[in-house]
Amino acid sequence: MLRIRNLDAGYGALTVLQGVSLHVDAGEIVAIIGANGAGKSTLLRAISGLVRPQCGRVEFAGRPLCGMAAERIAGLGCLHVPEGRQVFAPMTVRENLLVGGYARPAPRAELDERMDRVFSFFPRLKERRRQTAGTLSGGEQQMLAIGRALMACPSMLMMDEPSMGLAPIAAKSIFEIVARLRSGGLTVLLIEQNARAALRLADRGYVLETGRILLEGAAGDLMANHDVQRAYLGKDYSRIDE
Amino acid sequence: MPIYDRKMETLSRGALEQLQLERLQITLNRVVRNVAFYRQQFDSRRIDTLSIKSLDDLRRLPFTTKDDVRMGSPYDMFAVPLRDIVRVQCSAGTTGDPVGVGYTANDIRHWSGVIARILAAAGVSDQDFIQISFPYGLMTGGMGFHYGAERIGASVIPASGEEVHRQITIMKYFKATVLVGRPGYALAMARAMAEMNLRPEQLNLRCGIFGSEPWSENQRAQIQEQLRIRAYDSYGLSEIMGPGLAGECEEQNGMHIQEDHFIAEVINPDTLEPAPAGEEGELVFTTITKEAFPMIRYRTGDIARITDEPCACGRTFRRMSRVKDRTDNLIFVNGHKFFPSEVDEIIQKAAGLSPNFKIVLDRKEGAETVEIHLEVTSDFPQLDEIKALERMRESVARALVAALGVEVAVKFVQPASRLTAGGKKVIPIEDRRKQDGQRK
Repeated sequence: MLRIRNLDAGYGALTVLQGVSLHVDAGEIVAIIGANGAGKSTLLRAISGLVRPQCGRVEFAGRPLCGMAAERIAGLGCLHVPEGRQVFAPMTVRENLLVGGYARPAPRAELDERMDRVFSFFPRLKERRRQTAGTLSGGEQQMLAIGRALMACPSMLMMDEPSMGLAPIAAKSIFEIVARLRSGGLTVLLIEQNARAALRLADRGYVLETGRILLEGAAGDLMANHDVQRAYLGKDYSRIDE
Repeated sequence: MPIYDRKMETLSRGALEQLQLERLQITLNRVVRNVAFYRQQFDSRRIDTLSIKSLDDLRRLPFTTKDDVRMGSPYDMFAVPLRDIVRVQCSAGTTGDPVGVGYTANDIRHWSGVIARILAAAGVSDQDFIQISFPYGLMTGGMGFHYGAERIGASVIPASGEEVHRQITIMKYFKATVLVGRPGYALAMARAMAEMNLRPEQLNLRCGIFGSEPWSENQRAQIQEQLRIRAYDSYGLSEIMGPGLAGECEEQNGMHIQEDHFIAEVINPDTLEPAPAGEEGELVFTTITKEAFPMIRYRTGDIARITDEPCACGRTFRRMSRVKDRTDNLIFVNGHKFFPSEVDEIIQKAAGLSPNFKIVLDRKEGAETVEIHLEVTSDFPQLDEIKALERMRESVARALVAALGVEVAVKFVQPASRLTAGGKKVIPIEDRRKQDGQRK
């Protein structure tokens, strides 16, 4: 579904990502783990067109994305759920969802249909559809951010730190939602600082360190890798002290 | 027959090449950080690993040789701290001293996985009793196959390097259905069975997966005939992982290379340039998932071909031919060149059996001569009649001359060596052409 080769990306003269190659197959959950500043968010922004790649090749469903405007990329079904949710606080839940639908314009009736699907997936959002987004809890806002992306009928969701800033129980329910989305046929590219939760959920993962990919593998293999355990899973403190 | 890892083994070429490129780049990122040898190799050639942007770019990287590995032995080539190593093994000493290699827990898991694939490709399942006659221990054959057989749930009989008669007794006792080992050892078993008055029908054996020494189609036919089994070829070497790099499917027509874990190239061993597609040359392997002991462009010294023609079994991994021989055994005589294994195959065809022999190269009056010293043993059917023996000698000599294009004399000699379970069938070469007495 997504194929990236030799991607360099950054901001101005600063290159954050260096020679990144990765892929996501249809129906997979792929996790990117890495420390702060490793380039995880830059990677998603380069894919979704918010940052222009400096070089390399990004293909989504067989089409090259490089240089394409962000709204066209979203229109192809590659949707970015940004870090920190970024819902429109003064607008209602319904209005937020309608904005999401604009990435794939459709007659009102179809938008209503899509919204019904989102509401059946997130009954909580249905209850609060007339509330302004700013009054929602963190977990509900994250649901809204996901629901907003679903309004554009994505084939792949790219989620940037969906559990960030959430209470553990809310984070847990977000991960359950990701699993449900996949069983519904969605492909998910997931960025998480909570490496353990991400790898539990994912089929495969990549480890990004200072802009380069250092490991790839089945999620179980990554969890068994001692470098991953030492750096991201908080195991082996005594070993580090050696 | 079922494909063990359908997703990987039937991956489209495009998807596989994407995966190979990703894993190659990751391996390069890791060896540059963790293995001083590779850092120096690349730095001294001013190669930035970021410039490796396609699988073709792999060609720009230097080779790794057995000598490099030997110099770094035991631990300098490891890419992880030693506390992450869960097993060490040694590479067989076909040439020179043993060389240590290491594995992380993930390496062992991947190794078991590729063995499971090639066992399944030969039709082995959890219904089978699989007798492993490779010696267990530092060599990779025994342990490698053992873990893969357990992975698919087969019942493992770790017979290891038992003496051949005892091996047969064990096989009969447990009703083994699958034999894993050296092809030469399988033939020795067939001979021993004859001595024991045991017919193949009295065993439950139905297939065998063989490897670790060069063998021929002729030997395959003999094994299949004498043991009444299907015989499959497999390939591996310890520096890369052990057995399991490649294995045959039910088509018995080339070994599928486990390309999601290894990138294989074929080079001309003289020019070091890539051999034209489909042509014979030296195999070069790069590991792309190994954590403990990654190898970049390792020269195997094994001569084979690789074909990318589709296989009827549905697997998309490319296939390698059986290993024809080693780069270092090529014999040059009077402008002709041939491999000892070719001599072996011709003798087997002409004589109808597989005797041990020595190749003696000499120079008489300026011309180079080849003598084959054929060991006469009691299993020669012609032994009782001098005329029959003489006829066989002549037909072997004629066949050799015709095939090799050089004059060959065949002499009968007393047996000098015996096959053992742990050893390999070696074809000694005595080169008297060199004045300092050094052997080739």
